[in-house]
Amino acid sequence: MQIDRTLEPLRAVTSLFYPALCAVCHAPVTRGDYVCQDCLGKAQRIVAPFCAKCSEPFPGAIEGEFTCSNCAHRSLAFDAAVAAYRSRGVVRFVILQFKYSRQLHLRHPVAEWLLEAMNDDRLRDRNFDCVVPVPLHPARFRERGFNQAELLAKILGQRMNLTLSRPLERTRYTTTQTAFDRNDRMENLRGAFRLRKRIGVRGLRVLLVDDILTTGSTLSECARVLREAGAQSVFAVTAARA
Amino acid sequence: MRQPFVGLVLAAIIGIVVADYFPASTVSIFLIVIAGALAAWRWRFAPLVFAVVGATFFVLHSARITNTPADALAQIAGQQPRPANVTGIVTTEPKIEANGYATFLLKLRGAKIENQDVRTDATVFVRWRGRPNIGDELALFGTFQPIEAPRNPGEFDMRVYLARRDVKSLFIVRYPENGRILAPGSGFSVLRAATHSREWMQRILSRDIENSPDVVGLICGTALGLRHQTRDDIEEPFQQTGTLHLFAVAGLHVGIVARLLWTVAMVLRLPRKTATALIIPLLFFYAAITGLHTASVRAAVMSALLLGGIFFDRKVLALNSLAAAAFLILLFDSNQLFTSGFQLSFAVVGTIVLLADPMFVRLARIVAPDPFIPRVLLSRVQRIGIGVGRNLARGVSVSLAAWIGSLPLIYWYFYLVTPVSLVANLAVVPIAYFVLALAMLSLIAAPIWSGLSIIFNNANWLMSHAVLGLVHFFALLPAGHFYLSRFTESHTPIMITVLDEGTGGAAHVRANGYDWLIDCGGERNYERTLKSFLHRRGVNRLQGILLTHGDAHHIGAALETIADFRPREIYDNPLDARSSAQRRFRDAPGKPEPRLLFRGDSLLLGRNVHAEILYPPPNIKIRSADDAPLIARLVINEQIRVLFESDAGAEAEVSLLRSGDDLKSDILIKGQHHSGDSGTPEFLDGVKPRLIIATSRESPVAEQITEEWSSEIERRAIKLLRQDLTGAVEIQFRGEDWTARSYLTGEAFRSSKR
Ligand SMILES: [Zn+2]
Ligand SMILES: [Zn+2]
Repeated sequence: MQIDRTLEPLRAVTSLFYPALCAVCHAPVTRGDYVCQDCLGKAQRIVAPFCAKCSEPFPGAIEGEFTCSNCAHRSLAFDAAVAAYRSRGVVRFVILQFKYSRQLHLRHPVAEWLLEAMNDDRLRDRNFDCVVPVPLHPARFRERGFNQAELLAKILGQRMNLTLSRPLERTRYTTTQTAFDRNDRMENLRGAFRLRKRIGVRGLRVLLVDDILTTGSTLSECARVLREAGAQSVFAVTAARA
Repeated sequence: MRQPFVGLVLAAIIGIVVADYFPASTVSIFLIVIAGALAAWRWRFAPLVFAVVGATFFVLHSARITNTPADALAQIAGQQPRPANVTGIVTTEPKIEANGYATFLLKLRGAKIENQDVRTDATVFVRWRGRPNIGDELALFGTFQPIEAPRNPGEFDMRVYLARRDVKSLFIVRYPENGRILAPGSGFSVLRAATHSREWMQRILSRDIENSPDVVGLICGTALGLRHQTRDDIEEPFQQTGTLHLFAVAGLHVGIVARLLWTVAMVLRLPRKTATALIIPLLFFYAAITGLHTASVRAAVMSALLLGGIFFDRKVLALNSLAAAAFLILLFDSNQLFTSGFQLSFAVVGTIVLLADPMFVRLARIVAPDPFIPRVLLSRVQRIGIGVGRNLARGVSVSLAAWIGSLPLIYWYFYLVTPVSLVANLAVVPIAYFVLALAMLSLIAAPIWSGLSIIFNNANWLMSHAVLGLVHFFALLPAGHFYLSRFTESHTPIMITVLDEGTGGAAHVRANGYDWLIDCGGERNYERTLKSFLHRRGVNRLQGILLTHGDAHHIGAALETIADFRPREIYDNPLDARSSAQRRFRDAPGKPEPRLLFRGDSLLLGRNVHAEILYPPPNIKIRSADDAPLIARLVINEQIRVLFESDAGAEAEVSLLRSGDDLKSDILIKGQHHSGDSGTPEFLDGVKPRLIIATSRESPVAEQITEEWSSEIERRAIKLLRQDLTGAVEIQFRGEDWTARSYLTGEAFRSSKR
């Protein structure tokens, strides 16, 4: 408390240089916040019913657990991919700013959304041995300067008291995903990831982390590699889902 | 308060400007400010915060400009030259003038003026033919003099410039042996280290390309900001194409260096915070190496704030950071607000911050389609096209924004408008980036393998030539740049400005849209006086020039004037004076051949302005150039007569009187004959002028107006404007009325008796 009070003028000066403003609407926010309460309120939560495997929400009334038609048609290698928010509006805007405009500080609000997904029934009471970020190709890493999944995994690891592990590496610089349909994407990704030498995952319960789940192909391909290397289970968590 | 520093810096600027006009720094104001500050802290009332900040800067600036050490010293040293012994420390990089003098600022430790000890810590402007370095402690014997105001319109105002740095006395050391270095580098250890590393860097960068001084100048200017060693004529085309910022190490450089360092740190896989902690001090050191110009300090502060965003995990607001940089610089030195460097730097970056992004968005929509179209749907060529298009759009929008920001200031300070700078910057800045990068590589390679460093230097030689070639090309483009007089200047269609060229002469005649010169002064004064004056008047091209006689102080700058202002007509004195100035002019190749004028010739200078040539007649013998100058009389609006006697002496005057011409003129403009004998009573009887404008200088004796002569003029009730007191004289003509005004004193003489 005492230290806090002496630091108060310093913080006031700091906020002159770096005023705390909402990343979306630029309204002043309390120090330490990045998005204002109004804008946070506009984030679209995923509510039941949704697919137990990929969290895709379903418009309508379905009682109990179900798997969506997309997941039924193909074999996804993860046990489940969980997200708490739709990647739309405020959420999408903040994540894109974080990823493409080098607004690294926005990893904090994005991580908050990620942490909310950890409260989902499918993850809440489960134990994990390590958090694994989806890797970035070295060329893309040089271009961007950071791996957004890794920054998120780091925060998640600290909060959940889990070790961060980087057993995967990306070997192919695949072109951006959006243009392919689902099956093409799976094909396109095959062999894009591989296990790094000397880092084992045998028998581990892995929590895979990424920023956005679009079709699940990337996460599934990562999960497949981890499974083949002997991982006991692979759950995936993302801040948002398309 | 979304961008708190924007409001704070505006409050600070208001406080400083008010203080500059009405300085007051009493204890009561100070106490009110403190009370206000406490109240603002207690109740957090935003308008009160701004008021307190404004008042604080008011007090700061008032204290900075009233009763300063320089004022106290100027009071003691007085208005007359006074001999003195001084000791002090060199605080600026000495600049070496063409005549061998080093000029620099010296912060005094003590002074002995005419055997009287004076306690002072004022800073003075020193001229000494020694070779000191920044940080040296010196002991000098010389004379204190007040700093002179400019004597001609357009001349650089050293007095105002130095006053902003609280320097109000000039100290001249006549002989090199009258000064000695007591202790080298006793002050400013950081600056000293900066100077040493800069000297080392300069040696490295010029290795193997020493015989291309222009290139070395460009590379060292670009990489190290060594402007004080580059010649002005190298810089001129850069100014005319709006690319001078390359030379003046400025924001761009610090930004580039910051980015290069960041890349290096990322390659070395340093953690972000470590990299930040390393880079910020390096940037400030770079700003110090390059001479702590406002622009580079601004850029270093902004880069530091940008990197600091990583520390504090917050978004960095560009405008707020810019305002913060301005705030800090003003807090450190409120006088900066009034310097062109500060104004330019912040105006340009401000407009880039505010305008470049919106303009980029619009341009990008035109040249490159929606970036969210999946890239795979495009062919490779299309993708490259989009990449090039977007980069081009980025460049154009930044360049356009910078141009808009600098336009009003460049126009105001340099009377220059540079439409070409839009294109010039787009072409030159990317290459300049390589020049800077190659310079860095050469510096990095030098300690490891000097051969590699030399290879980089030679590559840089090529790049620099490309830059110089492009800049010269753009500077030559018609309408690429032009000079425009200030809108606040009077735009009388007919006016004559008699410049103060010391013992020499030059006069500008504006005749209803046509610009003429009668003589052009000495070569040494040309850049400082005539050229600056013509630019200030917005003259881009002369209609014609008359060269009255072969005196180096009258026609010494003829070749330079003709090269810069390309007169359509050139008229020369027909006589061969065998003077070196005349020979230099007549022998110069590639200039248009001048036409010769004799008594009886007549020229139309412009509507309602004629020149009659009264002298010399054909076939006269002369002993020296002064004996037979071209004597011209202007007839303005058919009734006002202005006689340009130049340096004519008694002999020429007698000859004019004998010719039987009606010499009667309203205004007589005269120099001094080398014998000191001119303006004889008989001649004055013949001319009957109402006003005489005459050059006068203390030395040599013949060039000074004598007591008898001036009392004779007074007896005849003729108004005399002597240029040792008036500086330049400007005469405006309206109908049958005219008004002559002294530039130095503002004294006016009107023809009408009203
Ligand atoms: Zn908001
Ligand atoms: Zn599903």
